[in-house]
Amino acid sequence: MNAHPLWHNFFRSGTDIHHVVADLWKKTPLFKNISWRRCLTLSRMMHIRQYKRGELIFKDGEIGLGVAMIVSGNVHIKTGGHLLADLRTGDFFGEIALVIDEPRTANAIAVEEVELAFFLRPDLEEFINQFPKHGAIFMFNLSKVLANRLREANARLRENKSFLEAGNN
Amino acid sequence: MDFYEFAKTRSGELSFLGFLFVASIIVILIQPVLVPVLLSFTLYALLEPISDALYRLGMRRSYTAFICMLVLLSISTAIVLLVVPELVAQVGLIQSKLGYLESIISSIFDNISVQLGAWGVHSDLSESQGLFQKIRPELDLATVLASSNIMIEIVVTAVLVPLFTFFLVRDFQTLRQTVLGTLPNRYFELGWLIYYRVAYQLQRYVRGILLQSLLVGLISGAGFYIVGFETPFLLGAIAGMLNVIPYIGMVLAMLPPILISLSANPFEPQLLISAILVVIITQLIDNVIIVPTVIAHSVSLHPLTVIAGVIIFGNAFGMLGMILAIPVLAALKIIYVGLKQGLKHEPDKKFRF
Repeated sequence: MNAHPLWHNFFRSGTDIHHVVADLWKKTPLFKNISWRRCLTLSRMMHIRQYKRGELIFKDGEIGLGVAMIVSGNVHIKTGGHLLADLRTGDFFGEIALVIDEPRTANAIAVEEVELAFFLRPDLEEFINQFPKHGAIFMFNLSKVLANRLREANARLRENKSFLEAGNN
Repeated sequence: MDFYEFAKTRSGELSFLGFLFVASIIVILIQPVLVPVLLSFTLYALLEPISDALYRLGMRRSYTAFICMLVLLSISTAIVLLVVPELVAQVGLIQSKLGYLESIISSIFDNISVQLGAWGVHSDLSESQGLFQKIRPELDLATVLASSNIMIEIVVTAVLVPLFTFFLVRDFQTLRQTVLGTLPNRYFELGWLIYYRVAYQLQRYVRGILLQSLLVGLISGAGFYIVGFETPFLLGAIAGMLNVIPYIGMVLAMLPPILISLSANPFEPQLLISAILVVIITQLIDNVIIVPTVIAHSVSLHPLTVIAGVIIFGNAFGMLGMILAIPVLAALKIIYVGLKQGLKHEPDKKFRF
């Protein structure tokens, strides 16, 4: 039986969306060594958006302001009709925009109904000002994530290069 | 179609006109509380660092807002108890000299008339003398307070400003989140980008301009005190306020000390010269030291825009309009540049984040 909305969860905090978002972020490498309480503080600064099936989340060349984490649903990252990544609940994308003021490098499309939690660059700056120690840990984690992505891209580039060289020979 | 392309289409233009129309109606509707709202936002820009510092220590926004209000109340009480009586006394001192100043100005006009007559030029300066008699009641504090509803406005502002400021400090971030949350998904990031750029620049500008006015007021006040004026405090306050008007502000700031030095009995030419020197030296310090350090990315307006803005605002809203013209125009320019850059998807290289 559904409780009356007035009395629903009156005596307990329950599971509000920020708790769910904090739980999901805590599991990502970006929030390693950052307490759940800080994650919750941050998740309250985040922006929750809902997307319909097939809706464009962002477009290649558009200005980007932050990273998005999938709270629920499925997102495809594409460039030139090419599928780059198939992302699910708990995955995040667009983290480059947290560091530099440059346009997005791919398209992000909602494959089904999607809920996203956006963490924007000015929010990160505010977080660093408010909690410098945790801000430094976050930046360290972010640089590790970006370094890993660079390493993966280099490996893929090497593979493609050797594949092309083998083809030429 | 992105937002910029949309803005260039016919429906985009109509939307912009619709936006302007709605904004104008809102401004007309909130006009009675426009001054308290503007003042509250200015105070919010000043109090926000205190609120943030307390929030960082783990305090709730309600408590930080309460402490900010205590700070505001303490400063206001100190100003009312220490500054206002001194200012009223200095205004009274100037008023007591108005009669003598009027006779001095009349004699100057008479001398000019005689001199011009000797050169064969006919002039009727009696109309200019009449002008002084016309504006004289406006210079009398008691007459101004009695004839207008200025006291009611002051009381209403004194009640509304702390109330608005309290809620701004406590709830502004929630309000901002709610308002920008209504943006469609496609323009959500763009909307936040424009908001952050504009808010950051505006906040810097408001803080900068207030600090600049305070410093100019203090420096010129000290200068007037050193050269021997009886009302240095009042003259410094006037110079500080007028300093926000580029080009014209300096000339306007010179007028009160010049008039006071003319009213000295007997006339002291060195007081007149030193009054002009104090204003010029303050302007030099302002342009060479204060502006580059306090307002790093100052909003530059074309001299013609400044003059036209001051005349139009002065004509519409009087002396207050003249003082507020440039900050309002600068704020509009910041909003315009922020919107233009954001809608064109231009990265702002000078911007901090």
